[in-house]
Amino acid sequence: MTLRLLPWQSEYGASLSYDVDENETLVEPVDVTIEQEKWDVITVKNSTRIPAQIIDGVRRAEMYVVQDDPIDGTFFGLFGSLAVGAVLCEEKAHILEDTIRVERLYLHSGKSFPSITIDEDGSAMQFKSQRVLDATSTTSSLYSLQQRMLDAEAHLSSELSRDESKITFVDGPLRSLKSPGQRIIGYIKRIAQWYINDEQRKLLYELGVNQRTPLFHIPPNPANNDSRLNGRYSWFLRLRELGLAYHPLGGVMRLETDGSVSIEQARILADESVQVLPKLSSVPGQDPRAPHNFVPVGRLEKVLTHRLGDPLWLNRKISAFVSRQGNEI
Amino acid sequence: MADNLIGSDEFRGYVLGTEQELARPLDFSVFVAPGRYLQLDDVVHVQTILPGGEIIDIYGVVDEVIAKHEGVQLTSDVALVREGILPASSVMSAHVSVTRVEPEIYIPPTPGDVVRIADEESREIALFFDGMDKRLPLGLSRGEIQGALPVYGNIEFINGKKGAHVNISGISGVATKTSYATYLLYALFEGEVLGDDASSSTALIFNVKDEDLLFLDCPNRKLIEDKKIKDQYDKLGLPAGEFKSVGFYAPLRRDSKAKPFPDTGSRSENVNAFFWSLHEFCESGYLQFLFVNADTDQTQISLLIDNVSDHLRQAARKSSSESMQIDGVAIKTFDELVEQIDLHLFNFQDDLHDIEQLPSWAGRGSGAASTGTIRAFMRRLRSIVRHVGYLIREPHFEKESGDANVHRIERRHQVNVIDLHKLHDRAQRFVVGVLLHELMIERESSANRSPVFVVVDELNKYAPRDGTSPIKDILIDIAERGRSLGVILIGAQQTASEVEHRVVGNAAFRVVGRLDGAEVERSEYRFLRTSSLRQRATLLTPGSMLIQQTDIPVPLLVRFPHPSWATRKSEVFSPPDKNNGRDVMERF
Repeated sequence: MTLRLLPWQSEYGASLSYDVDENETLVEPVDVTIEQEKWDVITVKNSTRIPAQIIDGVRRAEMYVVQDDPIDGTFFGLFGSLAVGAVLCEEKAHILEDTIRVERLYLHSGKSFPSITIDEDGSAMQFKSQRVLDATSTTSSLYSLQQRMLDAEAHLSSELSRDESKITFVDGPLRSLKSPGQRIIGYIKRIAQWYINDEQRKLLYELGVNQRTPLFHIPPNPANNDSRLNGRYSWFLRLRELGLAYHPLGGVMRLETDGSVSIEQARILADESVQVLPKLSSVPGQDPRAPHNFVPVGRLEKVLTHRLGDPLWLNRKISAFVSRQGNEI
Repeated sequence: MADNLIGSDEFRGYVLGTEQELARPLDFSVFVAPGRYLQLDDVVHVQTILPGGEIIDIYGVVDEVIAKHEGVQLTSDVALVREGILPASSVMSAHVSVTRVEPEIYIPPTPGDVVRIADEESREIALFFDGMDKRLPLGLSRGEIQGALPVYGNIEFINGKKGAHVNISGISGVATKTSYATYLLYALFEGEVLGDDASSSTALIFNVKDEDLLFLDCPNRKLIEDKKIKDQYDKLGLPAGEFKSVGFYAPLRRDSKAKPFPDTGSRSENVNAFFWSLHEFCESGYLQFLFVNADTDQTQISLLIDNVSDHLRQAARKSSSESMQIDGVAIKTFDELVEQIDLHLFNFQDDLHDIEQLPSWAGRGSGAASTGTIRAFMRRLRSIVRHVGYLIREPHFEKESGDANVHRIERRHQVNVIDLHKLHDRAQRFVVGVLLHELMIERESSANRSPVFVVVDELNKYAPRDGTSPIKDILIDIAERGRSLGVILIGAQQTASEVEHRVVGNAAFRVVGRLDGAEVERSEYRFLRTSSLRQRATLLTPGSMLIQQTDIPVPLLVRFPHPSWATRKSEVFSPPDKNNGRDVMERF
């Protein structure tokens, strides 16, 4: 029996799990022979610098609200903020300021409600009112906020991926993302669904930082909110050698791209991901989710969180607004 | 209004209001906008608006500039930024010390207010130049000729009207203290700032090192070789050339026989030889100036010096100014004077000398000086004789030269250079002490208050922090009363911390050239308020000075131009023949 650490700081959970319940049930099994017959490591030698843009988002619940209505009863509400943006890594890494979007939402399960504008000292914030029927608890309303953020990320991704001179990396599985460009890759930081069997998984222990697994094909799964017809190509790579203290799978990441691209195109993308991502990965201590949270993304998250504004300041503005409105809401 | 400014050339950034960089009424920080920069000494202007709509103009000087990577925490992150992995932006911020607020409503600027570099008009206001009726160009602000602008001093704080005295500190060799003092004299006398006082103002300056000051009346050949020098003088509103009215005085040579010859090196034309007659020496009580601090630390010796001086004065009054006599004995040389003093001190107890009829100068009864004190006094006096004695002599040259006062330093020119560089240290002290003493006596007995500028280097020698001496007393007197008498001290020293604080503290203009790192931390330099200013004082290059003046709340950095007069013989454009010199200058 050997003990091996998982690299993330514990409050962020773990980068991998074997929780079978979370796994989607596949209609048909994955095809691991789509790139080559033999399930074996592929070494990527070329190491040219490839421009890459990475999209990410942050969200924050500002304040929870209870709406009392003498006729309709009591409803749950949430003031929330989200921001999405992208960082471009080429000669230098820089935040693409133009892509940054901040949204303020008032999510509630009650009847239709006007948007709320908090205008303080000339900095007006409009919390767009959105009715979410199932947002009836803190967890479910936060989940709705998360969904809005993912939508905003998907929107930005499809916009940016138009530019095929760069690879576009998206945080998480591609889901329903409709991409006009072909060079788009989803990276999965927290692996819950492995898709490959235990035997095939042994290959992941052997991966080096300039290596990847062969591509495998995940068939389309309408049950899992996956509207793409051609399924997805996926592969694993190693971001970083973390040393003996850590579990060998702790430095591994799963990636995927659209199944509608040619197998040749998918292979190029997979090779490019091996050239780009390990360099951007973080060192334990540098980021709480090292190595999976990329250094530029860590910075982007900080910038986006910063754009949400100071949480204490926002709380005061919201409570000042509500108390000024008195019982009129 | 503000939006128009952002596109303008003057725009530099915005006032900061973060936790680390709070805006205060007297100092604030500026986020320097991308693509712009602020440098140390830049003068900036901010307009902030009161709730009622009233505009407050806040002016200040940049005294610190910081650049950093924003969003970077770890030391090694800088490498990640360079390699294109970590996004980070370089930002610059500047700290501003407020110099002036108009109208005087002391509120901080509002964070976000637009910061502009001051244009010429607002620079005048920021640095209080607008309130100076008559300005002395102290030098140029930093920058190349095109960008450099004059920095002015208020003449009323130099000429005694509101304040007086200049004090200059700095390391020898690199601080260019004497050069700056000379430049100030040039700006005073050759510029127009003195106005009506110009014709009656004079200066005394001592040449203690090499022959730096012996060619002030000759244009510098570099004026022709380097046109930039002339441009600098133009900017300062000064003519470029030599001092127009200079008198040179040097001690007479020891071997002077028929005529008093000045003891100089490479220059001998138009140099007057100075000395004092034995009669003057005795009558005016100059004996005290032969002794230095260490000599007079014993009060007994001080008392004895006073006693002997009194007796010499009495003897002088009984003699004619042509021939000094003591008790009927004619004194021809300083050696003979010393012998007479010796006789008059020891006679009452020394039976070997059969001169009991002579009165004792050592005092009588219980007040009499002890033999030990007298011996100590005589020993010190004799040790000085060979260095100073030849400067005090029978004035038998006078009849031949025709002018009885020719050996006196009478400030017949605007600038009067006293060459001491060939004199022994003890003789230098004697000459400086006597001249300052004569000057104060002259001023006290007349109503003339037109400024006399006295340049004294090595104040730590003449007015040290500890101990007392006749010269130190005079310098303190000048520092404290000189202003009302029109005697203006331009003093200099390596280290102000070693000089009597009343002499340094009374100066309206405090100037530093390069300072030693330990020295700059002394309390005498508190006027360099920030650590960055003090650090800069240790880095100043020759020709750069930091100046604090009463009228302006922050020290300003100036560069003064290369001397347009010759500072050594090799720099002289033409021989010191006046007419020839004029012709040369007309070519400029």
